[in-house]
Amino acid sequence: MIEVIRFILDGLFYGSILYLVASGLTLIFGVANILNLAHGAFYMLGAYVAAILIKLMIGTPYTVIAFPLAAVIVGLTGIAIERGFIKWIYEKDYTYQLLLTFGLSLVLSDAVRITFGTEPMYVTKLYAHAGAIDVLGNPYPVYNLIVIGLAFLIGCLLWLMMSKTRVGKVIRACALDREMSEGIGINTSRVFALAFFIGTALAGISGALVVPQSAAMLGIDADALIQSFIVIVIGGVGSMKGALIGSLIIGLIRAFGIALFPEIELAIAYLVMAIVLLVRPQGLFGREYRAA
Amino acid sequence: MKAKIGWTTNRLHSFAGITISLVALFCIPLLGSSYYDFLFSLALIYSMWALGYNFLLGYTGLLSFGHGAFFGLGAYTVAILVTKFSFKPFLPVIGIAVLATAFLGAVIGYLCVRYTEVYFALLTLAFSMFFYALVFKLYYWTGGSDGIGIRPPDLFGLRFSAIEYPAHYYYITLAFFLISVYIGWRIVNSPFGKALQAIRDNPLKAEAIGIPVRRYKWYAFIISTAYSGLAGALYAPLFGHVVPDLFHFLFAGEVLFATLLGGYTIFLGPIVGGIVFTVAKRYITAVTIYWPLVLGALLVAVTLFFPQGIVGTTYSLLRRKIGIKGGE
Repeated sequence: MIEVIRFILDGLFYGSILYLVASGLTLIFGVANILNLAHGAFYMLGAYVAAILIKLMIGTPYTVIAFPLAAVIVGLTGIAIERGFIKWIYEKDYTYQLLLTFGLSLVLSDAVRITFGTEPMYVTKLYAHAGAIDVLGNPYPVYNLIVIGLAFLIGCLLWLMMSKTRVGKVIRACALDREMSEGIGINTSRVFALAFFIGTALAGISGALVVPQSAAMLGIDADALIQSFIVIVIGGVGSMKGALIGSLIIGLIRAFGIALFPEIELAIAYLVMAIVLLVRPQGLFGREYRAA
Repeated sequence: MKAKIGWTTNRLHSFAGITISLVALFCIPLLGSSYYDFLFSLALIYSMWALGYNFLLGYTGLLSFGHGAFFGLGAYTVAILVTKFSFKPFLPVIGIAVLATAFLGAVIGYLCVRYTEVYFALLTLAFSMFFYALVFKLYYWTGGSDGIGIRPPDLFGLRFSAIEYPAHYYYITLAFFLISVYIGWRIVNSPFGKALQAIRDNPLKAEAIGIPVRRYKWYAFIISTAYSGLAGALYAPLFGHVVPDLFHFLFAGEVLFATLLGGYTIFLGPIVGGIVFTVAKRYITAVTIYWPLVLGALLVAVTLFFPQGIVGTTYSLLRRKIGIKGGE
């Protein structure tokens, strides 16, 4: 029983990390209608930037600033990329959008490799520093709990922003109908840039949060991208609620899978995805989607 | 092979074009360099791969990130048959590899063609990464991250090796290439091929005039995976070694780029693209270790500035200069 609670907490932790990446991807897709294949690269960038910042600041009370700072740096990179490249292809065929973001993902990943080197960067000191707490008689790392709480908080803020503020309303208006929004005087180009900032910053904070628990290393970009794809297929493309539920499902599958069936852990996630596809092609929370 | 883009008013030109291309392709081993034999074998393999890929991208309008996995399946089928089962007759080995790939393509395709556009791309990417992970897990069969080193299979009772006799291997590849191009040309111009183009241009209309859209997309998927399987199967003996990276979506990005580079709106495009891409990659990787960076930058540049690719742009220029027809 105690083991089960541990698996559930682990699942929530993986799910939280995943939710942050996947919600960023979903936001960009929902607003700008661009499936950003470079999203994983932003996640990896966040991890490396955070690793560097934490290493610089470790021991000082400012270490926590490293996380939001990494997110902002990644978000600004996201805006730069959007303004420089992606901006030009909103009206183009989806093929070009995928090709462009794929090309950008190659460039970004390789740029990260060139800048930060091929050695993984560890900052496990911070993880150990957070210590462990007693959960029903079993020690559990506090850091994981902090991440779960933080992801919950960010999720709430995101929801509040989207549903209660003017900015959120404007973003949703753009997502629904770009031309009409422009017609009523919204600067949609700026809204898209904002969506890219928030979306990539979410990827960045996610990558940053994962660093103390594991490491900043090459290849995590593809993993993050694939996992968020599975999440949004299960949850429903473009649905923020779907991103949340999908992340939790995949997080829990991963936690239980690693512990109970390490050989086929990954296969279970794909199996769930395949079942969802066959039974409910639009995903659990997706809008009715006509599969031609 | 210029006839293959419907250059009906200029049959003489087309005939000359085909003849010159064929003679050039046949003459490559006469250069006497085993390096060129190897390079152009690889180029023809990429061409076949891209040609098959274009059934989906260019003719059906579906962008797949999963064709690395099918290439890898073809290559691994050959490698496993030759090393684990000591089953070496060349043609049956290739045949089994193509069939096995097409079968798995049918299974994956059945799930994927229910979707279009980005959803399709996303699914093919996810499934190919599933195979990528699987290759690491099935250590006994696949050798995990080491891959499999393979001894060359036999052809008509003769042992032949791409390393010892690269020119022989080149001609075998060329034979497969010519057959693939011919079959591809026939498919594209068959009623089935025209139906695919109708689906690409307007799926709703296509359905309305009675084309079974989803089934035809599925067929197109299976055909293109069979081409990927063939390319992979020919690749394995050429390299003598297969690795899991073949399954990675970054590798699928190479066929995507080759197709785009040549021009995916034209039958000839991916064929030219495959050859140009292979040769360019060899020379670029020789001078820089930043291959993904260069590839990505080129991809961005081609997407933004030359979306029609080499062949498409050439035709546009020719059309404007001397008013020739063709290129549609």
